[in-house]
Amino acid sequence: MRYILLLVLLAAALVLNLSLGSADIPLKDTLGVLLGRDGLPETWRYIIWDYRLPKALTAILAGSGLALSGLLMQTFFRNPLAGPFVLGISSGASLGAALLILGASLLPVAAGVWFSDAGLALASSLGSFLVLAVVLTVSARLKDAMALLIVGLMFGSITAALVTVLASFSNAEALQQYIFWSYGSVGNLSWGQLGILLVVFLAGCGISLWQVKGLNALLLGEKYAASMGTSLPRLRFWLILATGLLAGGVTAFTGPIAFVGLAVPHLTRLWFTTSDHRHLLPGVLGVGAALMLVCDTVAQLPYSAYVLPINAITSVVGAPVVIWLLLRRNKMLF
Amino acid sequence: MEVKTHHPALEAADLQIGYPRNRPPLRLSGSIRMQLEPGSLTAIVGPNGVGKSTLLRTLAGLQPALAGAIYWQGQLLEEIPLAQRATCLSIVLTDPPASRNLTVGELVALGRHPHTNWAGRMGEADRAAVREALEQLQLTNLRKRPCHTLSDGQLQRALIARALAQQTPLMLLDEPTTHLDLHHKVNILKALGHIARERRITIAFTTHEIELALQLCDALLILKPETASYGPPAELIASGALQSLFPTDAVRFDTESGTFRVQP
Repeated sequence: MRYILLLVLLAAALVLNLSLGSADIPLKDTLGVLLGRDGLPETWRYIIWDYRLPKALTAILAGSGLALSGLLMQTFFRNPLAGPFVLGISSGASLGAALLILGASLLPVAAGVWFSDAGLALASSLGSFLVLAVVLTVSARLKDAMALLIVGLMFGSITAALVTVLASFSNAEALQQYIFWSYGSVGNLSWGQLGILLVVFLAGCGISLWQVKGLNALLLGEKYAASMGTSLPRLRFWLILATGLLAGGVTAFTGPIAFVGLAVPHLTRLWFTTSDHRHLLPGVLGVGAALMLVCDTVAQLPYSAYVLPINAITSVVGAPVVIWLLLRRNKMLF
Repeated sequence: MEVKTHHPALEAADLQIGYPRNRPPLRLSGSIRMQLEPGSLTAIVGPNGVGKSTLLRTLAGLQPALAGAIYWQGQLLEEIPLAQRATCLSIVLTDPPASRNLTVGELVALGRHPHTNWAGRMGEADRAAVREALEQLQLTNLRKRPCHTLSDGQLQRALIARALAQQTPLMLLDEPTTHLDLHHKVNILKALGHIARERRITIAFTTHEIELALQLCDALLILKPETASYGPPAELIASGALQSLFPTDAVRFDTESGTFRVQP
């Protein structure tokens, strides 16, 4: 029942997202273009197929991916405040992007060669995977999940500091470009890039689904999980890898997007009234996608030529949700 | 469901517990020799800091021993793979479940993990085991309640029910009676006694309730910093192992009544 409602919600959010934008295309005709009806303006076909649909699909993958990685981290750390970026993944991506954008402005020769959206995606995914590799290495030595949380935070501080250093040496134009990247955006992905994101996303989802029993065992704590036959080092490896793929992959293409990963798992738990990951997993994917589609629709400021940074919208939506959850329950249960 | 049992359930042979990673390695309590029989209830007692919980975790295979060996039905415990070990022994710890949102039913159902497939799909046998465990601990009416709304006694029963649903021939419990009033303490210990006898499950638990343990258990293990003595209550009382458990300036064990008396 909940799944049907979720699918309806998701479909509604998708249609809303596709039919609203700077160009005024009636809902009926939006569907017409998608279904291949004849006699509609070619520009509409172009706007919907090459601009709005990739953007909507990116929003779906980004929302689902971030929400799922947030769920994985909350369960892994058994901490309701954990999100997809606690392991320093977004800091790594920021460092990669900063090195490319800000670093390129320092070395004018390289600038033209490397600079493109694909290059940016590559740089930020390299950055997040570098941090991830270090975190995985450290996690093999640390027994305590909480210590790992702090390691992630420290990496965040280090990379933030490096970005500041880079920023203070670069010119205003590059700085502005970096800042726009850090606002996040689900637009501008080609179908090819979307394909890469989809593969990474599916790999992350597959690993999560495969480890679903271990995730449920972790609800009792690590010792109980071990006593029920869960191999903790193995589970830890797969969970960190899945989070890295999901959050790192999404961040590489869209820039850091705040709050979706933190808020969606809580909303889903509240709605589904369960902690069972067999239900939460599809739940967060759907809720995350729907929420991201709505946020993107708002960010488009329908019928105007302006586009708001998506990060601003997700924060404006996400932060009150977290506060509301706290007030409602008096404590963040997970 | 009947659990298959063989001769000696769990055996500790000159077992020494502690923390080998500390420098110098920290050794707790004397070396331990005991043989837990199938269907018996054993209490592990001793002063604070002597390593009761450490022993329990070591017996459960959650941390390595300093020296000596643990045998499960004649096989070295450390040689039994993790997944198979989960069908031999279940644990009940002092920390509450990490997720406070779990309902009692979900909590108990998690105990079926070693018996279900990769996705944790529950079959009819699994559901029956959960139902039985809930009934045995009188939790059937509470099964829909989230854990964070339970009283300490109810939560303890739920955790025991989870271990019971795991259907292992050995159950290890860490201080199942702390935070409970006398009435609930006795209830929990009696329930454990029933489970041990009815289902032929070997149960060992740590406790500070020495007097209750003397009355309700088949055997006791008394841990002291230098020695460890194991045996039936009557034997231990006669041997005087209890007299020297605590410094005698505050309490003294009275052999006649089997109780501790406060010294004037």
